[in-house]
Amino acid sequence: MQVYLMYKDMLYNVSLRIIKNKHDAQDTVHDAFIKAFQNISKLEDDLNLGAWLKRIVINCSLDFLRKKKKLGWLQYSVEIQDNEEEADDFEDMTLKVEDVKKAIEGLKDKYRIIIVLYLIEDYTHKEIAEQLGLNESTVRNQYRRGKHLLKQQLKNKLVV
Amino acid sequence: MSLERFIKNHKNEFDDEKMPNLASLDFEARIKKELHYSNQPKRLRFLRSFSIAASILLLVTLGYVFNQNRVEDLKIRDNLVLALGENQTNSTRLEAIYEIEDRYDNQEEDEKILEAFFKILKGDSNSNSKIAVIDALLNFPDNPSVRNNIIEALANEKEPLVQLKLIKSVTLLREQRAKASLQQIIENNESLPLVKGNASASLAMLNQ
Repeated sequence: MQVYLMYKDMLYNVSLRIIKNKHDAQDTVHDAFIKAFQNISKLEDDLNLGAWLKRIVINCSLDFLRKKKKLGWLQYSVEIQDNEEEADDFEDMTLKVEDVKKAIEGLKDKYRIIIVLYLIEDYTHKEIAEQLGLNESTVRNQYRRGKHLLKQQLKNKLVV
Repeated sequence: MSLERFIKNHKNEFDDEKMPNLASLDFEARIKKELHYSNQPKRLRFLRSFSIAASILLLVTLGYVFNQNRVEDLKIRDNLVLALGENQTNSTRLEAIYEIEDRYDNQEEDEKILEAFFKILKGDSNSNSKIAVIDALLNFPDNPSVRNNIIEALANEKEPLVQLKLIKSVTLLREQRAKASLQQIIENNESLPLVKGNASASLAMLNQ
């Protein structure tokens, strides 16, 4: 239970960012803990327990969405060349974590999940591609589009 | 600062939700249950599953056999009841009565058989059949309908041999309700002296 108490909130946040529903996120975190405890012998480095648990929770959360058929957008994710690199023109003072969080939550699943995995959970584009079964370049483009939409949402909020 | 950098720098602040305490309590109960089960060695789990499956199979088989036996028993019972019927010869009926006595010795009474016995007792059957039926009925002295039918038969029976058997039966059963019928036999001019004598002795015994 000590491990649970230590990591439950962190993992709950990870799952909630992907699933977006509190009850489902709680259940998913619990499933992930059970899975982790049953496979504890596979953990090679005790120091990486947190990261290992986080991976399991992310897998379980994505599996949950798959079961609920909420990852249907994956099959329609085609590679679109979009090489324009936008300039980031936010200043320190204009951004608030709460606003960014809300803006991320407002994104469509296909952008939100990739943004969350890349920017918050520190997955690489390659890892996201493997996890979602997409091409790496598709993930990059999806990420770029998601980021663009995120910026637009934040700018609109700032203008208002 | 770029948006990317802002998010990466502040990502710890994104973890601002707390797992509800109630959910933690649920988990504590669940983990005790799940890990207790999963800690059992695979062999033990296999044996456990196997023994459960084997027990179910055994129960199903026993249930089937029991049911088959029950069906078979009912078939035999129905054949015996048929053999007690009015249209059967006296010897067939007697054979059936003795067969029933042997087969259902020390068993609970069967309603359908009792009904067939009562029919013989009240009908115009042969005396031997009636006497054999009375013997068979005396195996169930605690059954109220057996006692009632014997008392009723005593009031209506005209055949001296059967009357004697019934008088002995009510004496054996210490049936106080038979007193009126006994008195009637004693007062009836048509009753044989032997029957009257037995009825008087029985009445005296019941009055003790």
